[in-house]
Amino acid sequence: MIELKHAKKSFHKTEVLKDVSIRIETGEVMVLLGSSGSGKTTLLRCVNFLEKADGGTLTIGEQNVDMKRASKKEIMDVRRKTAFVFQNYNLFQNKTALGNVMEGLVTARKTPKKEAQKLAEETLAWVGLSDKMDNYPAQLSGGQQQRVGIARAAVLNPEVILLDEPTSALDPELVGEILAVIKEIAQKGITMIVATHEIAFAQDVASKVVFMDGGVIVEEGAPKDIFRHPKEERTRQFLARILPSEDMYYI
Amino acid sequence: MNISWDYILESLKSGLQYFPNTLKLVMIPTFLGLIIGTIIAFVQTFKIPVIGKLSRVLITLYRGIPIVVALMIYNLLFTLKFEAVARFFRLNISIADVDQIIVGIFALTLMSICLMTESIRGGLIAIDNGQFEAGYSIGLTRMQTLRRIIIPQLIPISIPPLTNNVIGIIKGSSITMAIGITEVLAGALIPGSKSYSFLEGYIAAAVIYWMFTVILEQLSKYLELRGKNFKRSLV
Repeated sequence: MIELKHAKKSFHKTEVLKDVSIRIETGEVMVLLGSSGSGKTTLLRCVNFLEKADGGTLTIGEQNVDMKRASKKEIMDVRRKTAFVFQNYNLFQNKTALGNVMEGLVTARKTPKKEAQKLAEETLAWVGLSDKMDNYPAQLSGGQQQRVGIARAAVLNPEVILLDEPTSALDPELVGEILAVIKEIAQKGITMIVATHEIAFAQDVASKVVFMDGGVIVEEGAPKDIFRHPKEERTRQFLARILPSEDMYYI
Repeated sequence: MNISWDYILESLKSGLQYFPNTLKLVMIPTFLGLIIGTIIAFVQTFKIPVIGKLSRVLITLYRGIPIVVALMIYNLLFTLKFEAVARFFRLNISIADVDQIIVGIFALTLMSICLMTESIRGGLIAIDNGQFEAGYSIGLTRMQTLRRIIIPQLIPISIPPLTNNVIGIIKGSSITMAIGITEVLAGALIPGSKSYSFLEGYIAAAVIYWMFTVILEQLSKYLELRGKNFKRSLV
């Protein structure tokens, strides 16, 4: 279980998160929707302490952390329980695909090298990159890089994987392969929070949809409620713009 | 005007005899500059309070002083104040016991620190912040991220500007002749004091510096290629 209570964050004078609270049960997939600048990315980054929130508390399993006053040790503990998939992959440029996936196990978790390699190879095979293990990121396509990024997060077997618009930097043809991998992680029962613009994916995989706008949560609920019967006007506006309208197919 | 090959050869021999001094004047500042410069570059990049700002100000100040001026100031202070300082620390040494080369090494080291800091800072800026974040996100500490991710990427980026710095220090080392240190240039001119073959002396010194620089350049090319094998594409 992961719970975020009253998270606040400002950059200079811009309030990006205004008192946001979310709760997600183990095994759930939460999809964060919202236009650019709505605070989705900042919310994810605060959970992993890539940004330090200005206030609020974070609960992961048994651990309770004051997000503003978290000590270095608390931050490290939270980071060991979470993993992050970046919009622009951020693979370690100086390491091969295998090296990228092994790094967290070997250096952070102190897993013996042999065991780490075995786990990393299995995970890379699972995302379909058995033949690219010795390639450096510069030698991989965007879709392949993002699959390595997902493997790097998943291999740590974290309590939650945070995915920040994992398909936004990819061309439409490659989006499918990434979403398929994410869906598989979901089916394994790993908790995930995904910020995305892929509505079809959200409808398919999400157990809970959160719609954000202007740093607050406008509406949250099961995908079918949000997509079929949105309560708030702002949600309706947003969905009208990105949901393919029924009659569009006839054009 | 005739150039005598014999005199050039004589000057080359004489200059090379003092090559160890030039080597000291280059190696020690390079080595210390690299270590201290790297530390300062990281301090500045991580915006560590007080020392980050302070080092910025000091470097800005120091970079504005020509090496000759700095050298003259240190030399004067050294000659005038050495005995007093030694007495203060109750050291039983006089200025005659100390090789003046340390004044040159000191001046070049300070110059080297400024140069290296800026080059390494430039390299660090070139590395995407996402590399740090990716390290933190998988649970690495800042030191682990630096050691495993950032520094291996920093080395190939920094080698060309660092080589440039070392070449600058090599050339700067010849200026220490002005305070009476006998290094390659002063050494190459020694035969001239008897035979007035100064032109040959300067040519010989130029040849020695040139060879030193070329060797260094080749070494840097080799290191650069070895360091960035991760950037080579499959093609």
